[in-house]
Amino acid sequence: MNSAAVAIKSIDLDLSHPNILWVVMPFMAAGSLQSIISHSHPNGLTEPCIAVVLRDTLYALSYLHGQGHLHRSAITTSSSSSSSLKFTDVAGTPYWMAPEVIHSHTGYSFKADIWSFGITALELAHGRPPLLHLPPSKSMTNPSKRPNADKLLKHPSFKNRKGTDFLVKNVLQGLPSVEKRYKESKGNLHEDDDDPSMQVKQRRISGWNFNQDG
Amino acid sequence: MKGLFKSKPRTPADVVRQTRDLLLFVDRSPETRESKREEKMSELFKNIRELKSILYGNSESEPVSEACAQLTQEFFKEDTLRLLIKCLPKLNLEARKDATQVVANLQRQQVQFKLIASDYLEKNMDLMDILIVGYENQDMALHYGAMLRECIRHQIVAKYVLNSPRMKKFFDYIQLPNFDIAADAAATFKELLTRHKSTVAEFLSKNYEWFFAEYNTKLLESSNYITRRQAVKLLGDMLLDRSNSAVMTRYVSSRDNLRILMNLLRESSKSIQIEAFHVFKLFAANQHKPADIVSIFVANKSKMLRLLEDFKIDKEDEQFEADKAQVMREIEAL
Repeated sequence: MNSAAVAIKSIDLDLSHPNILWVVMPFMAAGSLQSIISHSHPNGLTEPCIAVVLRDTLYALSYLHGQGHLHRSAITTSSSSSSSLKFTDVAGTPYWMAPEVIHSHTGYSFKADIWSFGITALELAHGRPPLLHLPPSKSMTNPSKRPNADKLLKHPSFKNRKGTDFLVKNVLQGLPSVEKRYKESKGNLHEDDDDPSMQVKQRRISGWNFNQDG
Repeated sequence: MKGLFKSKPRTPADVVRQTRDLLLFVDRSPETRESKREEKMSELFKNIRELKSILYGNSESEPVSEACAQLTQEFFKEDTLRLLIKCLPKLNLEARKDATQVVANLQRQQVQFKLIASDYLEKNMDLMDILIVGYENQDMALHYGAMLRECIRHQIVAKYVLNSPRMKKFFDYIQLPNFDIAADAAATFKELLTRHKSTVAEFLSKNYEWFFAEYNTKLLESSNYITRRQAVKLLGDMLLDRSNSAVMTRYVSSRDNLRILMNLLRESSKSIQIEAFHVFKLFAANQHKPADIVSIFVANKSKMLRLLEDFKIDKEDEQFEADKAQVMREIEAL
């Protein structure tokens, strides 16, 4: 366990903190569902697989909301080794943000997470976020008309007893790890490390001359 | 028999009135360990939590605009805000946080399409003085700071604060050793100088001499890296805003200002260099350069061109490259 791989992400919080903030997280070898879908399932997942992902997301939202936490833009990620879904956060991701978060004049509530959940469901089915130039359904922009996570869990779609093993078998089987997928995509670039233009050193400018001629 | 007379559910106005009564009790009673006081405090905390729940909703329900309007109307009918601000130091941490959120939310609540918070604050501006001086109290600073930042969303309040003698204190607050408090003060300072554009333009024109003297010496030339970086970024935001074009013209006609920006351009921090460039380019682009500024450009021409030639940013930015090319052309032409 001590040798378990971890993902280390440095977050430059711009001016809000004098140091770089390092976040140590469990390493999700399979990477984000978004990258998995774009790599191996560009037309989206099948309905049974979607149901597994969405059900586990709802359990996480139900738990977090019970703890009083908001999750302003909720996205799931996965791990091939532990066969579990982890719940991550991409704050400020506009595709997944509920309208009342974007227009946050009066604050927002747990219902903002339900909006993000809906967008994620559409992405799992279509392979991408819904078309942005089409107006969203009027009723769903009203937070009070959205159900909460516990109500959604009662929907028949989630009565399916299939577990995450089903998901591993149908989505993750044969999938290269996130490092390999990254190297594949990086290999498409024609970047040459020996490019002379990269060798340009930053020459220090010595002091300015502020003396004024008489 | 008691069951026959079920108490009517409290209206939002009832919650406000009871909160106000409890605040009055807390305000008047001395700090003692008597059980009655603790009971009152506990009830006060519950009421403040209830106010927050009405305004923000909870996991079961969304806020109801009629209830919010009733709450807001009753809240500003009398001195509830004054009492809340005054009694904040006596509350526990959770209640302070709830109270801060309540005050923040109330600044945005409309009653019959009017922001009645603004009317109340216009008649009670001394409350802003309390909030500003809160930066000097380590326990209160972040709560009062958050309240203040919401209150200055009202133009009339921002104008009062900008023209207050306490405005000068912000130059010290944003360099306080407690980083959280300094960052909060910096956020308020930025809000004051960017939100209400015509008010800011008027303030900067009228107070040009002392304001930019303080800005240069205390902020741009501060020994603190964070302060310098924040200050040069905010300076760029202010001068590049069209509302402040008269102030900008004046700023880029000063030899001392140019010297400071040129020194920032030589910083080892790329972030500071980039922000400094956005201000420096205004000096170069000035079509009515004073003679003493021209002479500095001429004296440092080759060094400037070499610095700009080597100056590259990480991600490709067409606008930046175009600006840089323009600046280099202006300098070469001198």
